[in-house]
Amino acid sequence: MAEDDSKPLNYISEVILKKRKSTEAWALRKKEQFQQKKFQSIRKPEDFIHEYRNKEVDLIRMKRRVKRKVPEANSNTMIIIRIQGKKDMHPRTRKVLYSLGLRRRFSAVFVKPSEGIMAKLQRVEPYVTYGYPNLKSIKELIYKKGHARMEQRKVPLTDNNIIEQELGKFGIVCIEDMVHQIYNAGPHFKEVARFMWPFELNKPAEGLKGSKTIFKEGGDTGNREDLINELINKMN
Amino acid sequence: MAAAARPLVTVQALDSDMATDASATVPIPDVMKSSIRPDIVNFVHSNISKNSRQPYAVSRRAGHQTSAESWGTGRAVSRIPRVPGGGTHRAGQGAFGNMCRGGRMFAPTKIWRRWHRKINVNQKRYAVVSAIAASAIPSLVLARGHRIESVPELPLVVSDSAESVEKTKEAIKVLKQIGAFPDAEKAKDSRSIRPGKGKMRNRRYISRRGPLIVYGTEGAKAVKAFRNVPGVEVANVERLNLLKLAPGGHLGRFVVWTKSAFEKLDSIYGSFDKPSEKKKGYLLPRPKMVNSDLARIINSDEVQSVVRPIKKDVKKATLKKNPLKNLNSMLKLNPYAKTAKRMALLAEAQRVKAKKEKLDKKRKTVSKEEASAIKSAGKAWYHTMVSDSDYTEFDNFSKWLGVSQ
Repeated sequence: MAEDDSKPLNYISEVILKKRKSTEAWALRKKEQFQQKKFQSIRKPEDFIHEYRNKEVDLIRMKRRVKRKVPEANSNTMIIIRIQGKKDMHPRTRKVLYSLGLRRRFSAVFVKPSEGIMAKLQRVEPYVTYGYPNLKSIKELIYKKGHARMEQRKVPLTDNNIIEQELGKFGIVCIEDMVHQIYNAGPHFKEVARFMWPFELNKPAEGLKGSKTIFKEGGDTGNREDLINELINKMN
Repeated sequence: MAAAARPLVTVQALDSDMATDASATVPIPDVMKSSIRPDIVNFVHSNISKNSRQPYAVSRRAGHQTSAESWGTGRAVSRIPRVPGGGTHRAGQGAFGNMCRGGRMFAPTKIWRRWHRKINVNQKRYAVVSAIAASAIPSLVLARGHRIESVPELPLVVSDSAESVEKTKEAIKVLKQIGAFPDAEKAKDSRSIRPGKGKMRNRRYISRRGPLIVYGTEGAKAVKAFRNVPGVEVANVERLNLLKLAPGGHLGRFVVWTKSAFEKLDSIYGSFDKPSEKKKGYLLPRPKMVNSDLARIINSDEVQSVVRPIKKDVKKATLKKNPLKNLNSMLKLNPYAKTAKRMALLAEAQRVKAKKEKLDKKRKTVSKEEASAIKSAGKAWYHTMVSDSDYTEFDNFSKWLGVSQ
């Protein structure tokens, strides 16, 4: 008697199963966090007092810091990364951060260090870290996280046509030209820096302690000089 | 002509009619297209049927026609009033109370109850109009239980010669001609004894309802001819009764109209925009939505022709890929990356090759002559060491060290 050919068993690939498992675990964790967040929505008077005192202290420290000598930079190009600051900032400090383009945590911008920029950095020193990026860091940041600012909209840099129609009048027609201008602090550095939306970096898995002390003294903030490239690699 | 725009109903001819080439037709009155409201019909029917009630109650004196008095306490019996006297078992029995034999009932009923109900005229008209409209729908008439399989058309209109029928025998013949007799027969066969107390209250038998004959001429002889046929009821078109059009509050009575009665419906009930001639200021009720089929309305040509066409070209945001990992994305941004990558690969291959040659050169095996030369040199050196083993002469030592003084 002829037997039926046995069909192969249906199977789901291991990758899909693993992905499904992690998705479900993530959903459960998210739900748990949401449950916890419900009960933490009530703020006590101590929280407000703490917040207002922090703001006042921040302003006082900024006024003291401003009396010191303005730090100097040893490079043509500098990158500034905002690493903290939420409700513990004075509005004046926040305004300075906004003028630098750092509107959210772990955002970064390229600047040409001038006396004005260094003075601003002195004001917001506990909330930012900065340093001198190398060509690799600049290139990888612009290629991976680069976005253009077009009519107040954030457009990803997926094509050189976007760059050409905005910066073509300065002779900048492709992304390599942008990298060149940023690295060498060329004559059109300002236009290129303004053309780019502030980079939105990832939270580093390790490398930041949440401290407001200067990097030279073991903290997170302030000038890291060339060691900023390690941090950029972690956050890219 | 307005009548030509409405559908027509055929007037069924009878044997006594003169033969004509074309069948007579009448337009359907608007009353048969009005909205059907079972809730109103049920409510109005319930209230109308209460208006023929007659008051009844227990007698005012029932249970009180004795001079009973309580014996009071101390006699080992309850304090209920007791019948006086002696010599019979009636003496000493309890009286008056509702728990006593021969006593009165609890809260004796009175004749001054609210027996009748006032019903709004508009509601009654709405109900009658709904019942007439329902009688024109075959499915509703069938659902009510009427036998209309052999009826040629619904609403069923017969010629006016039916109104001049005088004999019941002829009436039955008319019913058979138009196919209404099976319904009457069903009503006759369904006669049975009523369940419950009604048997001894002059309501002993129950039976189904058959066709309702509606005539239009006052004093028509058909009234006497048809009214004694079991199940058949007769009504004048100007005095239609809801209890006959919708018995029990259920829509779908099988109605047989005469031609003159059918033609009068328009003047009696009017239409949706023209008031009735008999009822002052009455217009047929209109539903809130003429057509409640919303999907059909939306998909109609009138609606679809003014609707904006489907937007098919949906603009999607370009997905940003990582150029550092995705070579195609990198090439779009930096075409030189291909050349640089190729040069890097070639340089790597060149470096690997050079290293391999260097290693191979170091691992080359020497030839036989060279091996023997090396061996003899080693042997000679060994002998030199043996001969110079003692340190008696300093010159040999200096020779080893290669020191020149």
